[in-house]
Amino acid sequence: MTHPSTEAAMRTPPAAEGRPAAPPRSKPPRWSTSVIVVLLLGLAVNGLIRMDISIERLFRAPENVWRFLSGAFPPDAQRFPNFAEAMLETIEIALIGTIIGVVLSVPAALLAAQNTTPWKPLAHAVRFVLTSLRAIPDLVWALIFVMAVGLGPLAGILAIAVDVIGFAGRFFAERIEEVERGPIDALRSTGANEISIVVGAVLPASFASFTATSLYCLEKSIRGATVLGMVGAGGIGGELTTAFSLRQFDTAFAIILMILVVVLLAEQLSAMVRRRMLGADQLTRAV
Amino acid sequence: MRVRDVSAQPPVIDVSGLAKRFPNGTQALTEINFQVNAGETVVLLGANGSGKSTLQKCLTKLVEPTHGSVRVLDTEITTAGTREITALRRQVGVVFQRINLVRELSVMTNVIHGSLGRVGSPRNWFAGTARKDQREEAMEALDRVGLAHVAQRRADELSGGQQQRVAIARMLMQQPKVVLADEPVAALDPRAGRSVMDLLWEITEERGLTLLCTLHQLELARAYGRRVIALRDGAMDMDTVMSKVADEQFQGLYTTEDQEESPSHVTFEGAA
Repeated sequence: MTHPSTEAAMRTPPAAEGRPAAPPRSKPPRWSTSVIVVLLLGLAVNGLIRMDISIERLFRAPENVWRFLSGAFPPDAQRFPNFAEAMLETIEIALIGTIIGVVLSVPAALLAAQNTTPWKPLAHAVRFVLTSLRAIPDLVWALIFVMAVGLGPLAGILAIAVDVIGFAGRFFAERIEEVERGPIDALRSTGANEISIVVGAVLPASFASFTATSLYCLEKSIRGATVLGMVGAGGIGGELTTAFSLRQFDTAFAIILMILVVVLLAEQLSAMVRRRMLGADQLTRAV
Repeated sequence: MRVRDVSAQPPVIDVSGLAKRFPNGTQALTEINFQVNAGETVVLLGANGSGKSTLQKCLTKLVEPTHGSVRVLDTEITTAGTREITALRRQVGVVFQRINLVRELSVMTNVIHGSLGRVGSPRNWFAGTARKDQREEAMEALDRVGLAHVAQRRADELSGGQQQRVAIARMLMQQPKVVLADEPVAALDPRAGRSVMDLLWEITEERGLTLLCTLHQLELARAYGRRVIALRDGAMDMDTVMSKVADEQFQGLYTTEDQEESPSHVTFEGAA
């Protein structure tokens, strides 16, 4: 917009004789921009001073990391059966939580989407709730549910479910808003009721996108569930925290490697399913 | 085309003094008066933006008329409540220009959807769970349009012409008394268009349905229409029997579109 050449080109023909003057090479920044930059810089500097961050501690880090690494090798997989069980629990927490979340996301999305909501203010209310669910990190939800239902996997499942609703609810609603009007009008013109229209036209058109989003949620949930145990919400995270606090770095390293493998596998698996669903046509090079 | 005497029955569609003005100030329709008798076939002819679609939408209150009276199947749509309008829509089958099948579902499921207004059972949401009666009826309808062999295929695997025939089968499934077709072949190539038009005319003939079909192609209107109502800039230009009209008289319908840059035409642009 402020590019010199366009600005010059957009000028009305000069009234006075002679060539029109070129615009200045630079313009002072807007005052609001300056205020924001100064504010952010001030905040950062204040932080450095207030938190008493010393450079020596940074210099000591390599030594500590070295100690961790030399303690970590070779990884200790003696208690592998225990870890495998905890890992299984983690995956199951993620799976159950995602299923609950996705199932609840569908009605939430139907209420939140402008074109299917029974009442516009309700759509805004549901959207606000979904945003709030999303804004609170899953680890915080886990803390809340540990308080509510006690230590263990149930708290983890609830935390994952709530996190998934916040995420999937929003994306489902956006997909529903993109559904073509035509087939909806066609069903409406047969005199079908609202539920029939939703099930017969809206959901079939959204199904592929819902599945892809759900797979992504599952992948995200597995990643999230690995740390839920740190706050006592079940899964492998508990083992990891214990190993670190007992300074059993070789055990901790084995757990970290397991998490890495499982998360990578989950990503691969969901990418593979997504590719199959999209079909060959979508994935041939188009540009 | 039609030989049966239909003048004795009461009119199925009775439009008088109909006018529609959109909130943005566009006068889409002015002083529309016509009647259609049971079993009659009428072609609604006009250029793009002449108000054909708006008129058709007024018949089932998809667009609310500003003035005048519209009676369809003894329902005065200007005063009818939601319930009556839904009941009316059940009896009015619509064939769309853009076909409007649910592409992700099977052909059979799409056809069964035609019965949703009539038989509101959740079982009829999908072909796999549909009731036996509706499954048999759907296969009959598909057979009538010559597509029984593709019942299991996904709707978007079919060609445009086939899809429009599936849409006609869905319309049949609705068991309508009146059929509104809105440029049913505008999206199809000439050959597929002809076969869809043939099918539509044959089916309405054999079931004694009342058909109001909008077209913008004069040749098609000539080939299929017996009675023709022509719209021009939102007003009735003629309501007559096709054979009495010479081609030259119809040319006037398109002049505003092709030659004049008249302000009136510009105003009616958005009315289609």
